[in-house]
Amino acid sequence: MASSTTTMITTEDLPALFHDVTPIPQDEGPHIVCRIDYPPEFTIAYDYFRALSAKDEWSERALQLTTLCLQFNPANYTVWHFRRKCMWALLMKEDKSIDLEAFLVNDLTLAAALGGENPKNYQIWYHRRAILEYVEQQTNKELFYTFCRRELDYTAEVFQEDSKNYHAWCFRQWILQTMKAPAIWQEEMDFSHQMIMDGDVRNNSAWNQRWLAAHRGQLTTPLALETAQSEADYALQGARIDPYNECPWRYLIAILKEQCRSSTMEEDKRTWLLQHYLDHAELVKEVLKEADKDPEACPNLSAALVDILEMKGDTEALTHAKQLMHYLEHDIDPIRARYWAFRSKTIEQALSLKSD
Amino acid sequence: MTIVRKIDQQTVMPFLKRTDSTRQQQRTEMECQPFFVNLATLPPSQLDHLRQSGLLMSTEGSVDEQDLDICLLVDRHIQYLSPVFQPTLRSQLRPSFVTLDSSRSWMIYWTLHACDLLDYKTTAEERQAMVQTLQLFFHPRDGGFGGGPGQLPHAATTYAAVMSLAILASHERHAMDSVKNDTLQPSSSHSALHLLQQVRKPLYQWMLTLADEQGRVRMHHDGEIDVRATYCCIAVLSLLQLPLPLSWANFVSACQTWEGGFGGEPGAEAHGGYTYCAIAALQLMESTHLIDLGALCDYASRRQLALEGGFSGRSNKLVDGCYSFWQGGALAVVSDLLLSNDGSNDTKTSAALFDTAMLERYILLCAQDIHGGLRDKPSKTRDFYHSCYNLSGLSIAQQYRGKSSETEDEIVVFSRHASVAATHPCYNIRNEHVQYFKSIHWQE
Repeated sequence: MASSTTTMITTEDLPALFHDVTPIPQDEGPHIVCRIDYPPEFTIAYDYFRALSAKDEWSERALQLTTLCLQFNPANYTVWHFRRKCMWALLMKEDKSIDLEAFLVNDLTLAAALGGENPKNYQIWYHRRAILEYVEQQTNKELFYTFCRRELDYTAEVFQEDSKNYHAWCFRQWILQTMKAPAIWQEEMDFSHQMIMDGDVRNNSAWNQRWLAAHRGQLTTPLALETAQSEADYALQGARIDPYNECPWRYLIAILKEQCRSSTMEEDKRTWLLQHYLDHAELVKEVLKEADKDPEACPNLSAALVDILEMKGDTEALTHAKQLMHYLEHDIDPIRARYWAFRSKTIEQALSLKSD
Repeated sequence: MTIVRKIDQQTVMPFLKRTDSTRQQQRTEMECQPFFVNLATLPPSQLDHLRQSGLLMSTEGSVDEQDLDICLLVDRHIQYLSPVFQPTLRSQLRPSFVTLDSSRSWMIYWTLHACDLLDYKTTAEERQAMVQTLQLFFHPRDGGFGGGPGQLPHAATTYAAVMSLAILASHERHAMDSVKNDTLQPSSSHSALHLLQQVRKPLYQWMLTLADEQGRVRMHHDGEIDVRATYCCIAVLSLLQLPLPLSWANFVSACQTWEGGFGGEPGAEAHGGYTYCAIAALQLMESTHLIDLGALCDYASRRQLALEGGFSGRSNKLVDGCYSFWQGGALAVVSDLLLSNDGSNDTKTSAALFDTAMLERYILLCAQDIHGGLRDKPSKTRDFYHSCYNLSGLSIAQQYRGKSSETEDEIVVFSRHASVAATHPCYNIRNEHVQYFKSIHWQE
């Protein structure tokens, strides 16, 4: 709930608070479409907002008005923007009467309260980011890190309710990247591990976070071979928990692809790597057999084998891949029949080039 | 020869470990499954009920009694959508819509475009009212469209306003029955075309201010950076024949993830909406060579769910009718690129690399609300956004049905009574409007 350190005004307070202001009605025109039946309180609040906005009044009372306006419509990005203008103006005042930390913490609490019903509101998440940017640019590293820690905890709270909240994960990534603290990435590896193994092994957002953390935030730099193997092993561990789960298989393939495309990878290392993980991927079939499931009827497993075989690229591998794709297309993954037919053609072309 | 395929496959998503994801997926499969009943096995009384509801054609006259093709409830969808863009006193949106007060240009676009796909013909009065309304959303000082009068210009609401005006301009041209002439008509000052002529240059100037030196684009000043902003700007600039800042393509390509799809920013999880924005923007910028098209194709095709037939937005998440367009549209663009022989942008291939019939099935059976409008999934309520994107996805599926590899003439069709007009995969307005706009000579 919103903190009580700032007065929360209501519609009744408006005439007195803005006695010197002439409200400006919305310019609706004579034949407008898409009209909304605005509640009277909404209209009054926004009429005053228009007036303040027109004269760029960035004040305490304007700030209070934006709170009211945002309660009606938390997606009004114009009001959010104006609110920030008020905030920065108040914080910049010479008398320094405002405790910056308390002031901003209050706004973050308010944002959380406003977003309560809709944690998918872009404006609210951007507001949190804007506040942190302000702290980073206008104060010191220590205070910035304090805010960052609190916000990381906040995202973790949000994940309790919605473990895949897209905005929360994006914001979390932004915080980690902006902190520029190398040690944070290992913490994030642990966090993503918890979310995957203790939470939900099918949480793709957590697997995506792991990718970023494993790369220490450097997405354009391939992993060192040792790290890549460690991550590939982790993926296989995930696959063994549930071979039908897409996430670990795609993660494994992405790790291998990244290594194979790396210019520093030696040919014999590459061959070894692919063969090793091909063999281990095949072994995951044991999990299916133990559960009395057909080991040849797991689309994600077979698709991963196809990808590794295609990376290997020798005639035997491509031929095997072709066979697997035939089953995928006709038996076990028919929804993707057209896609598998297309991939088959690609493999056929590669094979015919080899026999030339 | 058209073959209507009866789809009987029912493949639930298997799992070995129960998690939140699997529970939700099971629930969704259970809510969709009843809609996939084999109609041929239903008793006559139930079939009559379906005919009365409008989902099946009535058997009056000499119509084939065995016609079990599902109908698109065109009239009811129009009834639900059209009041939004009509200037009548009766049709105000109820008070709870204040939460969409910053998305009014979106609401106009969603409903107008959806009705346009259903061949709705706007009246002069409707067109004029929409143009006047959108004019009020244009910010004269800053040069872009906001979500309502006096609101800051915003990339997404600008996209919605410009696309709406393009549809209206095209309707205007038809209505005037003008002589074939590709120069700008001396149109009424209230016309959509006139408004676009006025805002064209200011829009361009404003959009340039949204981007930084690295080509990252914000939705509005002091707003979020993400790939949607890039797309919204590029689509508008392209349609209005304005210069495209090609340097923006680098940021877009940096958003491709290890999965092959695109997130909102570099590092963010691959997601249907951003994936569409990325590939459509790159296609318009003729910069698709910057990304891994194969990986994108892999990713998007995996988003189609085996039982439901519709698309999910992310891996291990649920089907949602709006992804019919975001993922289906992305696949249409990428299929064109991967399958066309000479790699030219104009070669439209006949088939997309996904199961178009299964997608149509999901939209017609699960996404239609019997009272009009379309929805995410059966347990969700209809809304304008989902109506727009389900119908847009249906359009893509129908355009990209393709030919079977065995017989050149054979096209698999899910239903003969559900045709919608053809939407352009990169702009999401009808192809003919895009063609018209490419032919315009703007006053410079």
